[in-house]
Amino acid sequence: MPTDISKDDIRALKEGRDGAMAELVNSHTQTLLAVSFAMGFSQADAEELAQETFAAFLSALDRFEGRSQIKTYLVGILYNKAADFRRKSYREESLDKIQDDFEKRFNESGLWSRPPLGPEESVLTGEIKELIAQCAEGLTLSQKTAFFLRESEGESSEDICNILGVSYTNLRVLLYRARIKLRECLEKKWESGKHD
Amino acid sequence: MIKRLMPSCREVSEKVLVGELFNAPLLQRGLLRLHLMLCEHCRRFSRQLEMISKTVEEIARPQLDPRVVKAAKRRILEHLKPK
Repeated sequence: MPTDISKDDIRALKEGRDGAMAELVNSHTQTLLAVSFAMGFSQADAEELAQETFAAFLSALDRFEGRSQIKTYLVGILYNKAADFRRKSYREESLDKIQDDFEKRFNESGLWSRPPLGPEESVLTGEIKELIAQCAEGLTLSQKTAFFLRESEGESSEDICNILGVSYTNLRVLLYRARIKLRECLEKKWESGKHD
Repeated sequence: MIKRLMPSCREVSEKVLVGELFNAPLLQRGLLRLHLMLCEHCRRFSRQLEMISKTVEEIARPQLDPRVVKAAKRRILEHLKPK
């Protein structure tokens, strides 16, 4: 995919021209903040991450080879910064239990033995939104990022793979896991709320 | 014949989970739609996943107040300018 930033723009950035930097920051801050919020960062941390992302991009302009869209490239830097930020508390937990629980929902013929429960409204209520937002906190950083980029930003698989540095197969697993975890969590919260 | 070709609930829910419910080849797509029409549980499962997708789209939006974004841009630019 061709890049959306010209060689002239890159030169202007290298020369530190005011207008060039303002253009870069004005065009991409909103996306970087949105991705950071979706990853669960606070407003202050999201802004710091966006700032560090621009600083890292500007300090290594030569590394940007123009093979990807600048947005994809910047979100890739942001993702790595966010992973560093979370490194200490970040652990990719095993999905075995969730996967097992999901498998147990079907009988040998592949029919539901424990059918899905939980909300089925076609219009989102505030309560459901709140429950889903709470459940999203339980996703890992890579799951959250992959899911947000796909569902909200409508990024292509190729771009998301570049941003996260994963293969297409890994991306499918990330999205599968994110969806299964969110749904199972939603059902649990919904059903327990009903019986409180 | 249709019964033999019809995907199972497990297969339908797995297609939903990988986001490939309607990218399947024509015949399979038709059978998946038919299964969803006939199976209340799979329909609920699929609707819940749609609902989750819609919500994820909205999670970041309320925080993106234009004033917040504008102020962030100004601070970021100030920080990036060579001192």
